[in-house]
Amino acid sequence: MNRGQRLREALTGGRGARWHPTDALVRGLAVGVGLVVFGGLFHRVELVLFGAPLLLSTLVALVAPVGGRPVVDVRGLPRTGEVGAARSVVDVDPGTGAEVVAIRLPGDGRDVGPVHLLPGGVRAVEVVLRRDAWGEGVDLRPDHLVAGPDGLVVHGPVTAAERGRVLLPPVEHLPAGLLPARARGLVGAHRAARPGDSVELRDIRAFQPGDRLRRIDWRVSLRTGNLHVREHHAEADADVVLALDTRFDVERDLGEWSVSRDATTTRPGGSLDLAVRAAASLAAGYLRQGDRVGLVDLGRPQLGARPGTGRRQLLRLRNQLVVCARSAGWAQRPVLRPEQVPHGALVVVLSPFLDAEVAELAAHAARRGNLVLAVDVLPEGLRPDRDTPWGAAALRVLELEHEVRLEAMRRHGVAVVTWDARAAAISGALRVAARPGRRR
Amino acid sequence: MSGPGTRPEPLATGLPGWVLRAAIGVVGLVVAAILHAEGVSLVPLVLYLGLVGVAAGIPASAAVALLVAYPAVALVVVGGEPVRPAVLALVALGHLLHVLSAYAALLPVRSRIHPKALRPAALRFLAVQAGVLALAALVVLLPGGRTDEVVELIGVACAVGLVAGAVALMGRRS
Repeated sequence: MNRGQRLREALTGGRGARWHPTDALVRGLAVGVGLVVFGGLFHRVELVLFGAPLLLSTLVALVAPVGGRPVVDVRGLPRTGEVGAARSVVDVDPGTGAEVVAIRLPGDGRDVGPVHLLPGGVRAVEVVLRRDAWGEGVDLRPDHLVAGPDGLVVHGPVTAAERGRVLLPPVEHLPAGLLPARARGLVGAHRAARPGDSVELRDIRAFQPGDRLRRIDWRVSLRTGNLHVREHHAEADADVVLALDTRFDVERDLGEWSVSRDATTTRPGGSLDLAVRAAASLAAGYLRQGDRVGLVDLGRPQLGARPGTGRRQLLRLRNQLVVCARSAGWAQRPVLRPEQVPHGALVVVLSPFLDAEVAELAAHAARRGNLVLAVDVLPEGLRPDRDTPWGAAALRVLELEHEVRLEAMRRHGVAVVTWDARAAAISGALRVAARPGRRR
Repeated sequence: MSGPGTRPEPLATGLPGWVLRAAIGVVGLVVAAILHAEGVSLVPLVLYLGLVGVAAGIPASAAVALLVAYPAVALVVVGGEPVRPAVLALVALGHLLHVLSAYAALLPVRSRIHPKALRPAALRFLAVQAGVLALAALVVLLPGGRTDEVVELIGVACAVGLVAGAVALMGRRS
């Protein structure tokens, strides 16, 4: 056994990773022999009758052959998955002479589950893993104990290694829209300002040398007496930068804002949860139509993802969103460096907008020439802190400041939408923005 | 070790883990009722019920040993026929307490018990009790009388040898 194996054994083996007698065996032996001996000495048949079954069952446990090294292993557990149910198999090798196996298996869908007492003959158990919250989490920790007859000789308990999955943030179906019209590349889903080969009419102008004959608009040419040609828009793809504000994770109840949550990656229904879900949905929507989508963590700039296209990029972004949420925490200022935003890209700022810095950042991005969409993820229906008499007043001040920040961004040309749990508001805003008259 | 070809069994819900502890409590109450019917006074019975509570709460405690030995001593103190229905019932219930406590001590309260796992233990319990009944029948059928001192000494020596063998086996296991 090398050092690594010894270390692993020390970490995961636990104190009872060997066959050893239990207190019940000592009890059966001591009480059984004691009653039989005293019954014999004092000529009391009752005592012998009381001691006999204890002695017999103890002797059976001692004579029965138990041994080997029980092994419990997990099969078919992917590293990443989607929210909901998944299946996995726990393989069991209980060793020789095992009568029962106690294994910790997920049964009720919460944490690592209770200990299940199973027959010793079981070799593989199919378990259903269910988690409704995205993020990193432990799905299985098959702690186990193997027992011989009557549980008088046991191997374990052994604390097993935790097996977890990264559940990717869910994706809501969103309509595409609100994209900047600009030329980059030769193909794409969005209208560019320059002339090209799409079917959308850009202009009708006088014929120039070099124009193709098939572009001549004969009706206009006959009416005006000069040759005119129809000019069309070019089609291009676009860059989208999702700027995630991970500095705040607040929920509906203001009294809980300063209370840390250790068990979960984010607060369920909180601002960071909403922001990550919104980012995943927006990324999926834009990537579906062939755009390049990147990610910037405003609190931890080193955690971003460069723009890319395709389904692999969507997986990368969803994984990176989990990484960003895991590392979320307070940072003094949000950071969005110009080199993180490609020229002409759409910048989607996802934040609860609880400080002026992030609003200024959005305004600066708009001033640099980017189209900026501010997605407000502050949960709706905030509740005041009931532990303080100033709770309602503090909430009112916070709401007013928040509204001022949103209004200031609107005045700087930033489109502001609110993200709710079902993404209805942003769907409506994107549909409106996607109308031809609203396109730039 | 089972390979990927092993067909996995679906995980059933099973019974809650506190069932074993509740069973210890119920069996302890039945034992107390039989002792009361046999004429054991109230104060020792209250003490016994306290032991039942401790054993049900902490099955790995030494209270179980007292719980198993107490009825035997109480019946010796009360006296009466050595083989009678109450004695046989208490012998079976004492053994049941021992087995239930042994399994309950392995499991946390919030566990799940799949009854199929306890089938071999139940069969062994019945077999051992059949043996005890046979022994009781032998005691009833054999003629009574004073045993020779030499035979008694041999019996004690056999019991000591049994203990020594059991300890040796235990030492080999651990």
